[in-house]
Amino acid sequence: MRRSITTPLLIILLGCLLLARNLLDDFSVWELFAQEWPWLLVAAGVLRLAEHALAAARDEPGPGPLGGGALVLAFLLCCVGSLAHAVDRAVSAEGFGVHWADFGWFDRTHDIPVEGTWPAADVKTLRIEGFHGDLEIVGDGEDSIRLSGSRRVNDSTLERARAASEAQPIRARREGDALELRLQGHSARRFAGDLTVHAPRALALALSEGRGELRVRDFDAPVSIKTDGEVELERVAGAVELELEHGRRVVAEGLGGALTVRGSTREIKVRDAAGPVSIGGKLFGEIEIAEVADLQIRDRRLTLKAPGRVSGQVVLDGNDLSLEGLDGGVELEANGRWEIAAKGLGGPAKLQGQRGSIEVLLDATPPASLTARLDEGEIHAELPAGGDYQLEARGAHVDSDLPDLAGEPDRDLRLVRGGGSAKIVLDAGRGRVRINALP
Amino acid sequence: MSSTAANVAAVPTLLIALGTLFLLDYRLGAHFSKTWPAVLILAGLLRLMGWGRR
Repeated sequence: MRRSITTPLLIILLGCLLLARNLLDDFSVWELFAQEWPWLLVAAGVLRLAEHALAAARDEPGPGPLGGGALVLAFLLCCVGSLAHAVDRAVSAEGFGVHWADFGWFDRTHDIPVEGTWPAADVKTLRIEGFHGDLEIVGDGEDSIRLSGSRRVNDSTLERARAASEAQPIRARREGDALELRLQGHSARRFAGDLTVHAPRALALALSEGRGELRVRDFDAPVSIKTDGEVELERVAGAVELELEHGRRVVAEGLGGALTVRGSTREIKVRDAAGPVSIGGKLFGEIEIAEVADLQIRDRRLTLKAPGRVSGQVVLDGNDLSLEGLDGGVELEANGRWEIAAKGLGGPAKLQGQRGSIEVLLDATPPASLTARLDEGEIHAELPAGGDYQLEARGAHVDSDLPDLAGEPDRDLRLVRGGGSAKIVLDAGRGRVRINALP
Repeated sequence: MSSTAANVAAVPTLLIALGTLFLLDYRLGAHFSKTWPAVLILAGLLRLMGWGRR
């Protein structure tokens, strides 16, 4: 009987995961296990079937059949995995607890209707705390606050689920000119909801202790949100402040005031914002910012400032950074390896990196100044063959196909076109500079 | 399917089914508390095909 390869493969996988944890900053074995552990069952089953199929095809004895021990191990894995998944979903900086009912395999999910109406004539701020699941907040012209929808309660029977929900009602409390709605009770048991709140559009919003999907639209006053879930903002005229503990996704469109995003999140998409946009914290995943003003992005890997209008877009995905249509110019300082591409720069541009590449595409009228520096790597620039600029290019190797410099590789290249009013410096340090003439 | 083949394939098939149900729960929201009887049905089918016979 052949020995199975499943165990050695599991040991190799465990080694790879622990190695990745040690080498990569944003890699969490715990988070990966909590979300992906069922693949272990699938992989173990597929591997075993493949081994038997291979042995049968070769007419060799395969590994012995799996017995009850394997099923017991699988059951234990299901228990640990479900617990890890429930904890991963429930744990947050706000201290949400975990209730056994959160991972009851044999419970049913019951939708328990909830609703409430509160006068808002003299209310200036609406505070909502403890939202789980889906919450949509819509601004309108009425003078009351109306909540409707349902709570999703896991329990063995509808009666028990209803009783559990009624034991923890949604509580409203006045505090000065603010109305506070608490969507969760004091118990460790949390109810995800599918709720909609309609409120006067002039109210300021303060939302905290959130997870799940939050959607806010049609408000005129400032909005502040503290959550570790997803946030969608649409047509908010006041300033918006977002604080994300373990945010999953932020999408904002049609903002009239400033947008400030702090904390950690996986994906940010902002389009059409009139005020300054400032994003800072621990960013991993994709950031896509288009048609905004005065953009600032700051995390431990890069600092980017784009004053003035961003008529194009800034896209950051892993180690790729694309800058396009920055009308007021840009100042970028990037640490580590980056692949940076820039075009449509309308103002002074300073791009500084350590390793990787910088690719700059300049049109017929280059910005007043452009400096691209790398410690090592490659700078590739496409410049107009004619025009009005002075160019300095330095690196271990500089080559160009500009008409009068073609075929003259050098370490240091200087060139003046027209009056030389725009100043372009390309410095690749120990790397290479490549200059092509625009067609 | 012969009883030997069913014996050999039964537990791996059940493992794959269990993993798939949990993945459906986490990815598509098909709660395991609703879908778990599918494992029993599969175990019954495997038994009919010869699992456990010598």
